[in-house]
Amino acid sequence: MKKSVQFLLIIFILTPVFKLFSQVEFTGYGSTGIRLFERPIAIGASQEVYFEGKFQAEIKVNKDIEAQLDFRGSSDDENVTLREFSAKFEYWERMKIEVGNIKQPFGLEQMINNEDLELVEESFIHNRVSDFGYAARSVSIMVYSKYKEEYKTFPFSYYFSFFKNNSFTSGLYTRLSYHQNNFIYSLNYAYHSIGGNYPFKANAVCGDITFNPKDIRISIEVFYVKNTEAVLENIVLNGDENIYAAGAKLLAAKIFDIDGKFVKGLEPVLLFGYFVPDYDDKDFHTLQFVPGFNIYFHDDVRLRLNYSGLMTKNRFNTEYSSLNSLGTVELQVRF
Amino acid sequence: MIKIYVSLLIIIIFFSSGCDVTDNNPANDIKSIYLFDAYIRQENLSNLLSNKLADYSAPIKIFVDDKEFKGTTEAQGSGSRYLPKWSFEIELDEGRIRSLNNFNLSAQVGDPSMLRTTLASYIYKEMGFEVFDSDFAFLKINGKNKGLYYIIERIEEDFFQRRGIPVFEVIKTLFDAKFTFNNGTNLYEFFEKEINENENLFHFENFIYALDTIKPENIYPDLGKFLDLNTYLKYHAVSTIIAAKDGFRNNIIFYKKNPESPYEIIPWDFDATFNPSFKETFYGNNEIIKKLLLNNTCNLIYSYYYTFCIENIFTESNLFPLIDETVKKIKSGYELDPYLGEAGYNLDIEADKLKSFISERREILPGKPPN
Repeated sequence: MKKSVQFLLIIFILTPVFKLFSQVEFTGYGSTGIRLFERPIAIGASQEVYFEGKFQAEIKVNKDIEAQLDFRGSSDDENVTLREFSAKFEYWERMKIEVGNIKQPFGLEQMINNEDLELVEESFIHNRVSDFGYAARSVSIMVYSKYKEEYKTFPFSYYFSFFKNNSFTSGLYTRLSYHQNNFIYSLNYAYHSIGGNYPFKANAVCGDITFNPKDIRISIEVFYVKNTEAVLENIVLNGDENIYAAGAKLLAAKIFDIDGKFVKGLEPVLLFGYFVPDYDDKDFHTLQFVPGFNIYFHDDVRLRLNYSGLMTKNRFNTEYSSLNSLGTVELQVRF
Repeated sequence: MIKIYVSLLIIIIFFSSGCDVTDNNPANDIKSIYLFDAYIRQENLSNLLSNKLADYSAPIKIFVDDKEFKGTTEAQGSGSRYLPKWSFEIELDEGRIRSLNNFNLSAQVGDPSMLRTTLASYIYKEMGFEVFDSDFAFLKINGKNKGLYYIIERIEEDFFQRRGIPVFEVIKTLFDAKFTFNNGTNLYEFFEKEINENENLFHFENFIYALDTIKPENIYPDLGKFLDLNTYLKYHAVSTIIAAKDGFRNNIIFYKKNPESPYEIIPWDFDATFNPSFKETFYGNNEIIKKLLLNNTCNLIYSYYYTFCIENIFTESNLFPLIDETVKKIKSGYELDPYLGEAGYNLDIEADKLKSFISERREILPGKPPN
């Protein structure tokens, strides 16, 4: 079956199923654009047009139980996949339970829906931390409470998640946030027990401070995580298991209201990042600079212009290389 | 504010654009073997890494010799999934790499020399077996070196079509198989049908039943209806000589050309061949050979293939040049492999170990097995 038809078929089949429940809400986004790569021609054209979408159904089973299905499709993958199923039990206001294949609460970008991020692509640090297995999706049981304005006497958000994946890894995540006026202070810890023929334990911490009044977000975030990728390469010959990666990033974004006929708002965004894969060898590192500009035609319709500049020094490139830097122009519609 | 932002943006682009875009990774200069420059989207890669045991299929783009191939990949193999370097299956949507559209990238976790498959393929081919096509590739994923892999043809419909061999059924031997119904063996635990559509092992059950019940003197006329005895005896002799530790209860593929024809053999998965821990000199142990060698004709045939292989194929003059040629071919990829050369293994030392093993094995193998 032609893959592009799958998405419509899934919606067609699931819609009557969803109607059986008292309340179903659909959310998601569609986007299309062009990516401008800085890469040798041998590994692909310097430009690629693309489109992608997310279709999420939030099903209210009753006042205490919700379920969620999240489908994604993209022209890169040429297929549609079920990215997430989860069920939420909301018996207690300040202690919800979520079970399913969910994003692990590690780092700011994991806490925000992709379509709501200021930049088109996730940050380089986030992607590397994801490569190491921390910022990932796993089948988990998560106990959490998200802060709301009315919780003034308990100005905290917390997350405890226990997970197991299909690669011999299980572990836990904790995230605690303290909300004070427009500031949010958060601390994260992750513990992974990695099995297989070369088992080892991995710890990761990160922390962030976010200043988040209306239409502004400034956040600074630092990571210190065991580089599981390097450990797995070393461990074969009883090498060093204590290889830690570290990184920091600063993101600033502000929406300026412009009550134009077409343009309703402009949002400049800046991200600076620094990542070192081995904390004991800081000569090899990556700097990331991302200037971006979002032009809002509506709260949910925006044109996004990003340039993700990467400057990397590694053992093969002792001078900075901008390989894999990426310019993106994208039109996104959220619903 | 916007003016400040635009000024900052211009400054950043100015500095970034002065940077060099080239990648001096020496893997990019590998010419003697395939270079697979593969790309998997971040979220798909993360899912792939979390699903080594679950056959999660991730879209992949592979650039080979300036050509782009799209397809899917998933974790492959059994033992390698437990190790830091694991194997992949690649299925291309369109086009073929080395005439293959569906192949494994095998990490050869049992073979730090990466040479055994080349040698075993040569020997089985010289002895007249159909052997999967193989070659070498250096794999990069998202710009990072993943190491040296074998490209291994899969034993599927395409394997038979490419060779013009009719195929009715293919049965793959799983781990530590028992070729008997004694002690209540459930064949479905040990054998898996790869071709055709249904999963039942009806024909294979008939073969095992015959193996259990046929009298030794009737083996040649009666068991020969179920198993091509010559082919099997040849397979067993060769596998014994090359110390194919996994070749007697694991890596045998049985296939039938049509419903009436006997099962023939395709050898499979050679990283446990040339295995110093395999000490048998006469025959590797399984229920098939034990039964067959009760018959005099089978004994003579086994003896013939055994002697022929030792004298004509499993020789230093055949194998050493092949080792030297392959070492030359894979050296640059081997040295850049994070789990081999970069982890401290030395290809020249591994090749010497293999040569010593061959010489020593030739010394301890008797010219012909005892009756």
